[in-house]
Amino acid sequence: MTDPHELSRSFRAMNTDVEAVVVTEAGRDAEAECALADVEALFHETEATLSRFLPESGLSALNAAGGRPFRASEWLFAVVSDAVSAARATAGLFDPTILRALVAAGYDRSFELLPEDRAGIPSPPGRLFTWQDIELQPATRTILLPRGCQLDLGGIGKGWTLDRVAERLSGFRDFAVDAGGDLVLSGRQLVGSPWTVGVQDPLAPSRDLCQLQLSDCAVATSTVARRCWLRGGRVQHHLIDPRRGLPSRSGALAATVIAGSAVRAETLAKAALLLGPGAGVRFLNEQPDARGLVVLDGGYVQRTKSVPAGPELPRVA
Amino acid sequence: MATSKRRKGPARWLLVGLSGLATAGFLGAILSGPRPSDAKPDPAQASAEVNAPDNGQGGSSIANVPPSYSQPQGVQPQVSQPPVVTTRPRFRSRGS
Repeated sequence: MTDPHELSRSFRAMNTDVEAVVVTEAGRDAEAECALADVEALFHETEATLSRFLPESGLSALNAAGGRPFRASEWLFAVVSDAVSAARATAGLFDPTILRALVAAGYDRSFELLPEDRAGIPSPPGRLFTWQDIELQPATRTILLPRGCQLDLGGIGKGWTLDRVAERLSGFRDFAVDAGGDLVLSGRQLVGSPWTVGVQDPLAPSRDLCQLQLSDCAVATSTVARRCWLRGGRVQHHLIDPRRGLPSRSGALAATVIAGSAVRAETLAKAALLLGPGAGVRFLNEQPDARGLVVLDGGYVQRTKSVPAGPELPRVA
Repeated sequence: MATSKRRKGPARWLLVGLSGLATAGFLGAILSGPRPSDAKPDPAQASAEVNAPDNGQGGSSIANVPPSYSQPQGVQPQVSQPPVVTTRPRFRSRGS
């Protein structure tokens, strides 16, 4: 095949569907296939390192070492370092130390294994730790967590992996990787126009709030409308507000952020969602490298500058 | 299990069609205002960039101007329907 064309690879990782697409050309098919295989391997390797549900993962070993110095692998140390940086950049709204609160809310096993309605009333998580309790020693890749402090890297692991995948694919000008709706986008799609991304309406998942035409950026959405369960008759979800140690009730349903990296998009989206109506968009407007929108509980949409209003194209049926 | 796919480049007629659709979509953006749920400002958040004009990237400040300011008295404003466009976005950001 000599004309420009796409090669893609789809697989499951991190409990979600992943699709990687590369626009390639004559003579580079084997190189592209190899890169796509590496993408899949990278997802599985990071999942094996960062999953709190795999007893043999590096993160599980770190969490079991509370109170003692833990020498981390290169990747685990890098992700925890990036998580601390993201926590600092969001004034603690993104915080990887919320694992105890997440478990207390009922999210104590892989999501597909959670019963729809869990018995019992959510128990308070006890002492709340913060990202400032994490000690990092880069020279020895040592991480020290206080006894009882455990990390959840679910809010950054996918973005971190997407950023590594983008590095792996950087030999190609045009590519896109979709990991459960979080995306990295480079160059253009095969038809020559920027990649098109619909932003799902959290109140009507078959429709899009708007369509974006994007190149050379990352997109992530945080929402309380997915990964929900009942406990004690009350809806719980996975987005813990670290200020209270409880699932967020900020008045925002979802936040979508476009930024220069997937880690930035993912962590800023969570921060904007936790800040809620008004403050979420104000916070995003203060970020020089980000823009986005926040969907409020009633369905009203607040946007930063340069995010299109309404449906530029009719919503997907 | 991973699946791989190969997609050819578009035929010329498809490129022409897509160009037309893009034009139609742009016109649709000009002709359509924000959706009702977008249009309600939150008075408590007046300092935020709430439903701000779009800097030329979609929507239309013209569509947001009340008809009484943009139409002579006694003239009924025209209601334009955006053209039907069937383009689907390649990806969807949906949260996880």
